Amino acid sequence: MKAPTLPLRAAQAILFVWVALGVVGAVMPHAPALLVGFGSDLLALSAVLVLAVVLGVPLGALAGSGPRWIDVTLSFTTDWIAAVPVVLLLAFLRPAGVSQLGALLLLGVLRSLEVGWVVRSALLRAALVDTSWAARSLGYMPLAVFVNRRLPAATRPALAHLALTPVWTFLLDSVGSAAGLGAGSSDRSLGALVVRPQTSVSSSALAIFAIVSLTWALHRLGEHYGLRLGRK
Amino acid sequence: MTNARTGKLTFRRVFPRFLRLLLTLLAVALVGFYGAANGAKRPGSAWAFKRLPVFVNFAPADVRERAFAAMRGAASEDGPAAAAARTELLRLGGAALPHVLQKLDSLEPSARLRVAMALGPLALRMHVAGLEDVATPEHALLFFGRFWQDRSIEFRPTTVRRAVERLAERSLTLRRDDVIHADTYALEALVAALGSVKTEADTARVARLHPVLMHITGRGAALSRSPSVEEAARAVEHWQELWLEEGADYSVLEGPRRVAALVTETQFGKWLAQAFLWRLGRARDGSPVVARVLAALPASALHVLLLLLFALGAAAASALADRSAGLAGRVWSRVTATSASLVASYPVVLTVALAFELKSGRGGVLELCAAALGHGDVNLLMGALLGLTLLSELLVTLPARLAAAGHADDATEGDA
Repeated sequence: MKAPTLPLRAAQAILFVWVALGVVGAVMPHAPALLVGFGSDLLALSAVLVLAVVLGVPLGALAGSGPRWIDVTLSFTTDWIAAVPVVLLLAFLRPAGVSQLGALLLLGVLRSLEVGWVVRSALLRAALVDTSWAARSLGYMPLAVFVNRRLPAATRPALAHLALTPVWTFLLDSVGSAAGLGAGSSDRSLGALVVRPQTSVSSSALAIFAIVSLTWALHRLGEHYGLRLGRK
Repeated sequence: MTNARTGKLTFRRVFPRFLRLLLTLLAVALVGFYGAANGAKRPGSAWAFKRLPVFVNFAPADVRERAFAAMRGAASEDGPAAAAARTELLRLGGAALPHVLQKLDSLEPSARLRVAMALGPLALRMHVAGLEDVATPEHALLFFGRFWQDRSIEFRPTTVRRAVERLAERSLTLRRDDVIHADTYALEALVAALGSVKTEADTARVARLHPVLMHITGRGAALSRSPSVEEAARAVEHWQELWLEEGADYSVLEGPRRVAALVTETQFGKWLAQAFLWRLGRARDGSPVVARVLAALPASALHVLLLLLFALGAAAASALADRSAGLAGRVWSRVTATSASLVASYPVVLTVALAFELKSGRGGVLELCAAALGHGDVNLLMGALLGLTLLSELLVTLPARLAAAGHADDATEGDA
């Protein structure tokens, strides 16, 4: 087995530091705002990523390879959601009494629709090189072809899309707060922190650096583990 | 699968796409309106229909219910509630009389006197009584008893409609008085008779009906001595707005009308009516919504296109970092993968464009959406959302679907 490269080690270290800072920020509500922001973002990212993977990947797999009506429903849903900025969608529902947990669930569902669409598109592209008939002639079942061929082909784009989730939540929080519509995940998040007038430039720069570095780390880890999964 | 060649526009291709666009617009209108109605709860919103349910009104109130409630209130001993009920009775006016006067005998004598006294100013407004007729409760009760015996036959829709038609043709004192005698009972016929204003004849008709409407409702501003077509059109819009806002307060909801009121007497129903009557209506500041949205769309289109091109350019450039062979193939692969990701992330692209518009102050339709939501401006928000939907359809959804359809056709041709 090959030893991890330097960028991979750096990515693992960034993820570890993020999780550590996030846990400290989450358990210490009176910590500095930056640390509390880490905690809030870690919670939001965990919820959104888990929902996006648990809902989005099976949804995309079904849309890309299953019954046509699932694909049609998914594409219609993405059609009309695409018409409205997410930040407005969240602002629409907030006055109706959506709680913090509800907001995170909503973010997760919206993200899972996006991931589902990416997986579905990747599966359809993979289906163009259709090995099903050749595999069948060799005695393989279509399900085995799907699991061993098509799904791994969809893994890389899905992971690349999921890696952008920190920037996604950060944008929703910052733009929502700046527009006076309320932050997407929480008012204590890093996104809401950077647009607050009383936040210092150094804190803002640190928050942005943290988000960008986490995105890079997730992308790097996704590339590494996605490739390994693809090779299997 | 269609037998048409790739890229050719056929009914079988266009119709489903058109149907999907309509469904998308409907979904955006419903979700957007829910958000807009929530936004209108904010203080400072000028949305006139806040008191109505958002989508379905299971108990639409009409003039009968309002008149009975006001009569019960006016029949009670003096107090703030009774004073408010008497004001309400006067606002409902002639439209409430058929319901109130028929029930007057069912009240106890003292309550009957109080209600008759409360109706006194209405009789003066209708030019059917002198001051001494309604000077005391006993006189007022006697007067209204006689009035209903003599004139109840005039409170019929056909009679009132005919009187309004005669007034619309030519303004004579007698004809004007016939309509004023019916008071708010004639409001529906009066607003319907205003019609659309395009010619001088239309202006003259509005000039005949406008003073009567002002007299009956106690609202509106007098027209100039020789009003222009625009001035008359503005006056008509004002009265139509009033009817849209308070029409149910002056009419009886029965039969199919009551069923329709489940939807029409809601915030969404009122917005739809405004959208059809006045091309999406007016914003809070009085400017036409369509003009503002159309003026803001090109800026947002440019912002979104630049963002998409930037993302695709970055994806193509990232292929250069890869040192393996076949640059063109790598670039194409990255661009197609990023395109799918961009289509999926399009709402976030819009969010980034919104951030740019907020920061730069280059007003686009996205900034318009955010501002309208912040101010609770329902008409502007809905117009901006519908504009945004069409923009998204043209810039992203339609090209993505056409590309996918072309791809599928290529694959089919390859199979063949």
